Amino acid sequence: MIDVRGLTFSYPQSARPALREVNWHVGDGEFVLVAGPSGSGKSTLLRCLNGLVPHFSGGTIAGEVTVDGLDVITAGPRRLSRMVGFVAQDPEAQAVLDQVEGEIAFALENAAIPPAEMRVRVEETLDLLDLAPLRDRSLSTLSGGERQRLAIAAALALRPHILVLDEPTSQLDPQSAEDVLRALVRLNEDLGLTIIMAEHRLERIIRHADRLTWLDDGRIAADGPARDVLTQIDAGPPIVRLGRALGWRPLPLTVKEAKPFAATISVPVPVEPSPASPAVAPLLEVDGLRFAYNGRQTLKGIDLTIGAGEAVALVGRNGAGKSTLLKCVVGLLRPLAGDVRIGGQSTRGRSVADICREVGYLPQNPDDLLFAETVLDEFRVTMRNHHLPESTAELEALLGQLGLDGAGESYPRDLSVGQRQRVALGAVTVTRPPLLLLDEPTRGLDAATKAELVAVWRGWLAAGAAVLLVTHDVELAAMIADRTIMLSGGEIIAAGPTREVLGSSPHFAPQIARLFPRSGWLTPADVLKHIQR
Amino acid sequence: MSRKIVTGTLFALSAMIGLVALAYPFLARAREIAGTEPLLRANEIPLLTGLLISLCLAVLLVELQGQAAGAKTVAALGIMVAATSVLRFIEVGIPGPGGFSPIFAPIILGGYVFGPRFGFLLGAMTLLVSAIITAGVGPWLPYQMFTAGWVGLTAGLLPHPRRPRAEMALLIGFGLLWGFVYGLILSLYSWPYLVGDPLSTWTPGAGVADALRRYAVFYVATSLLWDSAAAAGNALLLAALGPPSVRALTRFRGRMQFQAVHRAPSQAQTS
Amino acid sequence: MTTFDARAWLAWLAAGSLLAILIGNPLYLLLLLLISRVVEAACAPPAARGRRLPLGRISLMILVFSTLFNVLMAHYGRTVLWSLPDGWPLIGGPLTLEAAVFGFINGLRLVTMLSFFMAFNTIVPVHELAGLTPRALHELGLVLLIAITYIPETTLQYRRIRDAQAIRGHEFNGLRAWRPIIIPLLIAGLERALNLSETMVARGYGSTGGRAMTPRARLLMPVGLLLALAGALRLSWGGPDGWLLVAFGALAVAVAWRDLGRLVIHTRYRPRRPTWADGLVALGAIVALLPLIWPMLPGTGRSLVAYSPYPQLTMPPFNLWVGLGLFGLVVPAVLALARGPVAEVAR
Repeated sequence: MIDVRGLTFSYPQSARPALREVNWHVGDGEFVLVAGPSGSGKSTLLRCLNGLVPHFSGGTIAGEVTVDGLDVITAGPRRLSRMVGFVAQDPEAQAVLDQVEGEIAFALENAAIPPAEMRVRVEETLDLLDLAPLRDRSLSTLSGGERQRLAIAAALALRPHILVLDEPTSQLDPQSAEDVLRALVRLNEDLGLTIIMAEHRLERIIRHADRLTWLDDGRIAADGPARDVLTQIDAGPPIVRLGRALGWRPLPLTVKEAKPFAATISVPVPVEPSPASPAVAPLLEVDGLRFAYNGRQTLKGIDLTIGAGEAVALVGRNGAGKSTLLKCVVGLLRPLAGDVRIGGQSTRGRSVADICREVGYLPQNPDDLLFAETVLDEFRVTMRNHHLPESTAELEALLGQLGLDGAGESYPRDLSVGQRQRVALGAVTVTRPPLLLLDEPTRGLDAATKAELVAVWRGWLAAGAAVLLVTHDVELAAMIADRTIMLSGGEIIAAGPTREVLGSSPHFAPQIARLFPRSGWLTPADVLKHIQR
Repeated sequence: MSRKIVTGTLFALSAMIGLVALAYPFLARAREIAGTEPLLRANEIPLLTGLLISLCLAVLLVELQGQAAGAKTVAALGIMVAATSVLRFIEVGIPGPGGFSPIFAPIILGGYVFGPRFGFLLGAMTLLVSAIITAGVGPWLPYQMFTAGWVGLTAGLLPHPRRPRAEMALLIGFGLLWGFVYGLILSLYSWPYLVGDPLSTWTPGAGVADALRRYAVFYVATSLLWDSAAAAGNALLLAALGPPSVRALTRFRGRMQFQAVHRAPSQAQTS
Repeated sequence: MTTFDARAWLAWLAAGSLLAILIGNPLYLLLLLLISRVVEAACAPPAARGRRLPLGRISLMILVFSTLFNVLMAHYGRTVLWSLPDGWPLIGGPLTLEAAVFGFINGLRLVTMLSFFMAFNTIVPVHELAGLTPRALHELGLVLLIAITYIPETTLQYRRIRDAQAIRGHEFNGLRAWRPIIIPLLIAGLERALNLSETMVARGYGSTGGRAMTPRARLLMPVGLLLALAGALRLSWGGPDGWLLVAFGALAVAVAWRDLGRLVIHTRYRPRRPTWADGLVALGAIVALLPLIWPMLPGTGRSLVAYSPYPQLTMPPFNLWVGLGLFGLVVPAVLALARGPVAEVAR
């Protein structure tokens, strides 16, 4: 049982409190989701539950946090680790040892559990999370989802009955995220574990949660059954947003719950696709691209064309070859066969630096790019690399476009995740490339930040740029992409207007498309537009 | 405060032992002039020096570990050692003018930013881990660990000049110096491994000066070129990468330290 | 999982290196060299681990160097091969065969020792080496393990950063070009360290401060070093009792270590239990050391393993018993071959 009273906390050297007068209570066996915009204090609140705040982080704390009768502020993480397990966001930074079994045993070793009992517990924990087939594997061979499950197992080794997770699936692809969430649901329902989880993307998990706590600016804005909270708060998965806008009550949380309401809306006959717009000069042409790695064919003949002002989404399962395709286009990987033409010019034989003058490629981890002292310096570095003149006025204009006014002299790594993303975006687009390649750009971002990025891209598209977007987030694809290409096993298995490709795919359809099959609608905005007519 | 005195004493004692171990062949030779038999044949000297250096390492490692036992330091050490050890792969792979080891620049920078204790541990553990992963554990490992530890330690004792140019000059000079001194020390330690019995190598009646001269020849023949490459390499690396790395690392220093917890009086507010 | 416990291998290595340092007889040295090569061939796992130093080339270099150096520096011995004018500093004088042989023997000693170390490196896998960490150094053992875990991560991260910089036009020319690679690598590594430490603390790892030492341990450590220093000085001034002082110093430090080890609240998962085979290996190592210990026993006289080519080159003696004793070091190979080929055993 967790009891939080009047909790106010500020990080060291920070004027603004991260949490203000929080009163919160969690009972045994509950599955609680904690959500809210970035910076609202979710991570901080979660870390208060096992003593990391304030013992690990330092800072000023007021109020009371009691876990099973133990006062967190005096007890400390070591004692609390037996009652509260903790799993963080990054699957790559939670492993101490290189072996699966040893990793689980780490907590047990620190608690000086006798070896015989350790063996038993490790075995049980392995079975609990279906990790037994992986026990001999070295850590670097595990996928992100498997590593997160391992982190959960390691947190559960000491048999805590409360499990706290800080955005555990935000860095994972949908398949791995499913595995992790399924394991969590099982732990909660079969073992009665109390689970408290912070999450941005609520679609998958909202139906299993008993409660939703919404934080905003360090305070609890709403707390209660998910349905009630989402009726008040302006956020949530597309179905919820639609339901709220149309006044559907009780608010549906899943496609199934929304079906009866959806039946009341007459779906129009899908409009014939408008005649193909006058041929625009293609900005990117890929012809018969083939690529193999270690003897394995990862791309088996890809053909695609993107014209100016077009945004194309590339979707597919993990390992389908999406990132490989992007890297081939930009020249980081040399294809076996086929040609890539940017603006009519082939990329064969050209250096990556040369190609990147016309292509802006935002990699999966934008932090890999940042190394300068100020944001403007990051932009200047790119200009210098390309031997182009640096004009402060132009750079400041770019800052404005990215919504980073005033941040020109800040240290990039001090900025928030969304801002860093935009700095990285600026760093690769400062040369005004006509073609933009985006690799999973919205991973781990909240809805507001996503919307800001989409606005920036739309601005550039309107100015004649072309965008090729690799993403697992079908809602994002629905928002911005005119066309979608589906990749599987290195081949294109579907290509066409987003409405058709995503709308009819059983696996990749966005929620709205599942709710209204054969309607061609992908986002709540589509539905609302129709109704308003 | 007394902790610092104890640590300081241990460092001083181990430094003295290290020097005695280094100079043993000469000290023994000085005795020999008096006419009596040298106590240790040259091939037994490594036993003594190995034992002494390992003892110093044992004491220093345990002492420093006790002060750096927090999770943040352990994790930071572990990951920095990993990053620096990866560099050793480059060294092992380079066929060229050997002696250039890219691991010393990070050790110096780590010690410079995070302090002498962190620097010692960084130096010693980097040599250990890189030896393990390059399958290069050899009889000279204790000497390498000990001396590399001192590289990091002394880097932590350097002053921090305000002006960036002065800082860069300081780091470059330091890197140059240690490039030579490290090689000098290690070849002094390994000399007894390779060179024979003082009784036979040196003609009787010759003095310490003669021994020094012979060592000088040994050094020139084996180490000088090596160490010049090492020193030059250090200097270049530090010149190119030093100051921005220092700035980047310094930003982390605050976060690495233990942050104090303040308990504010609870304000009973009516919401 | 290797063929034998890492501690047994450590004993094997210690015995082999000790013998290599102390034996002066080239025949025994060659025998030892052969034994170490045989053991490595028999016990090494099929996949070659890490990067292997080219032992053959290095050995040749060492032997050539030590022979030449000694020939040119020492002008001792009766069999003169050549003569340089006496006036030349240091190298002037007769160049004798005895000096050459002596130099060769020195080199051979080093080569033999290296051979044992090489075998140890190849046979014992990294995990078991890390597990050898003594209790008193628990935290540093953790540093070791973390470093080993994150080395592949660092390499991956390096590649990602290199690609990321390439796509903003960065070209690799000159040393300064490494700046955009090294800085993000350092920062990413430290960020990761902070996240990792948070997870460690969440799983119950120790305190955030230092650990107190027992007063006895705190006293014994400087005392131990002081004794060792005194012993070393005494030895260099010719008193054999210096060894006693050094021994006491080592003892003091060992006791301090044991004290500190007791403070560590920690158990080990899957502690490796020594088997009879491990015991045999250790026993073999001890047997091999007997020829060294023999002369120290009262009433036995001079060393069994010493040999000097000076002043006149003679054939080195070969005592069968000593040879047999040295074969104690070949026990691991025998056991391994008896057991069958080493499979990649699942952990």
